[in-house]
Amino acid sequence: MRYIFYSLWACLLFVFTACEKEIEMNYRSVEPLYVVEGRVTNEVIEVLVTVTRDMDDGSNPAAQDDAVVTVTAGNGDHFLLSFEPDGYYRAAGVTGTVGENYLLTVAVDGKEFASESVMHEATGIDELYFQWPKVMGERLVILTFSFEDIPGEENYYCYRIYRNGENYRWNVFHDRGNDGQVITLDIVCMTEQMAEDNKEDDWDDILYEGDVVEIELQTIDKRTYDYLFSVGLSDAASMNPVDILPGGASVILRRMLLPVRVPYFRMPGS
Amino acid sequence: MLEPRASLNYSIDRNQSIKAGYSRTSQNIHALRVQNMSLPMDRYTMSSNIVKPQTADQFSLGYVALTGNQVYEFSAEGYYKSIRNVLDYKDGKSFNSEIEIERIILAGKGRSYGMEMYGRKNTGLFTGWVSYTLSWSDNRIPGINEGRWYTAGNDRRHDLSVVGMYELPRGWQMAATWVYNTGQALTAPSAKYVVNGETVYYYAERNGYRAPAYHRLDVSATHTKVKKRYTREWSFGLYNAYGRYNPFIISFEDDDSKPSGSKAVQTSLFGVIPSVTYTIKF
Repeated sequence: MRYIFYSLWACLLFVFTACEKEIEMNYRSVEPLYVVEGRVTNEVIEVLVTVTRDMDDGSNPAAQDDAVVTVTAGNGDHFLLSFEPDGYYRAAGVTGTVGENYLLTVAVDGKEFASESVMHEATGIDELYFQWPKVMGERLVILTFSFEDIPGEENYYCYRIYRNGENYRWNVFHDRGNDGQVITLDIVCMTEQMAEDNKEDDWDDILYEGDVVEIELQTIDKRTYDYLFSVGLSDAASMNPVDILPGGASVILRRMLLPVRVPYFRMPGS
Repeated sequence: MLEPRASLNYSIDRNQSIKAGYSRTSQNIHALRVQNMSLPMDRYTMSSNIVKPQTADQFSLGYVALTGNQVYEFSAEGYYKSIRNVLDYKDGKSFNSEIEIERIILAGKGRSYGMEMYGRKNTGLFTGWVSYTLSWSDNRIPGINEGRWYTAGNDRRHDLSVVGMYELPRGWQMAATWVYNTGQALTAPSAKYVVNGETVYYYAERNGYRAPAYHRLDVSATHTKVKKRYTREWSFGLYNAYGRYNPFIISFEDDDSKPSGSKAVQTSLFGVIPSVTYTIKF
């Protein structure tokens, strides 16, 4: 009887042995494409121009310094942005105006790319705090923030979370069904078990005692929302995001708020 | 919708024949496969006033031969299939992009052609068969892959099956099956760039790459005993007997520890799976 029992357990071990391993891929190179990322904010107008890299290229993306970058506001103001040492093109002292339409044009290597976006009204984060609820026996660490939706119009938002100044999480969402109401978002950062195990694969997600978490809430237009939403799906679906322009540039313009910061600490009493 | 069929069979002699066939088929239920392997899911949709039924014309020509004592059987058949209203996801869209499926798909044409070969031993203590299919399946959909032909998600260049059964004394039968398929076509990135501070992959060729090949060996031993009022069988089997970890999901991830900064990770579901079956036939 015992022999049969142990045999059954051995069989179960065989059944539930899923496996993960790294495989070699012979990637084929493609002609580099230009990538343009622009921001129009209450603080700055800045544009970053880079190129795609081969899959085997482990270098950091190099900013292109030979582009001609201009931003034209709907009221006719025209700005020529200058390349700065940190890799961004900026126009000194120039910031965005709420409600204004901005046209970005980039001319580089005989190619010209253009995109436009409207700088939307801002909203402020009313609450930002951590929670530690227990879900199905597992304690989660959740970052919660709430804000009041801008009433009377369809709104699209992008939040960006930084941990100690580095990118941590981002996502896009809309106000459908919550027009003018307080919108609350719960972002699951990690589980308590992840923090205790402290595996290298989870280091990008784990918050440590004393980490400072900072959040930006950006009001964006629908086109930018569609683009960033498809960027989020891109890896899962093996598809390029929408709005890749002919010639291969990807351009987005969006609004940025002053960030709100909160320090992370373990649940009291844990 | 009319679906005509036609077939011809010409007997060369008692043991050889040539066959030819034509059929038109239609399909009102469309299976939309996610064309990568990081999310192996299908979404189904019905035909509608916007989503037209998929129709296909297939032509086939084959040859069949039996040995004089009909112990051995051989066949070879070539086919060509032309398909209309093949559906696939638009660039930038996936099965969960939008609820209304008509907003995330495009329609075009497809083609499929190849040859199937088959050999079988019908009698004796040892019986079995070998089948091999060499085939191509492509799609051409305006708006996808710049309107060029590209490998369909269900393309399987080589498909080989070897099956053997051996009758042993005292009611035992041993059986083994070995299958081999060319790896599934998948869309892998060709380049990468940074947006929003994160690496984004650029996909230049839909279904332009191949997953590792799929193959496995299944073995079984069956004991049959004929009783007065019923027949019972005990069957002991090993699925995937040599523990091949075939690819189920392939994903592409950042990895700062690697010189390239990226890696491809394969997830497999099963290793060896033993089985025990008890059957009563009455």
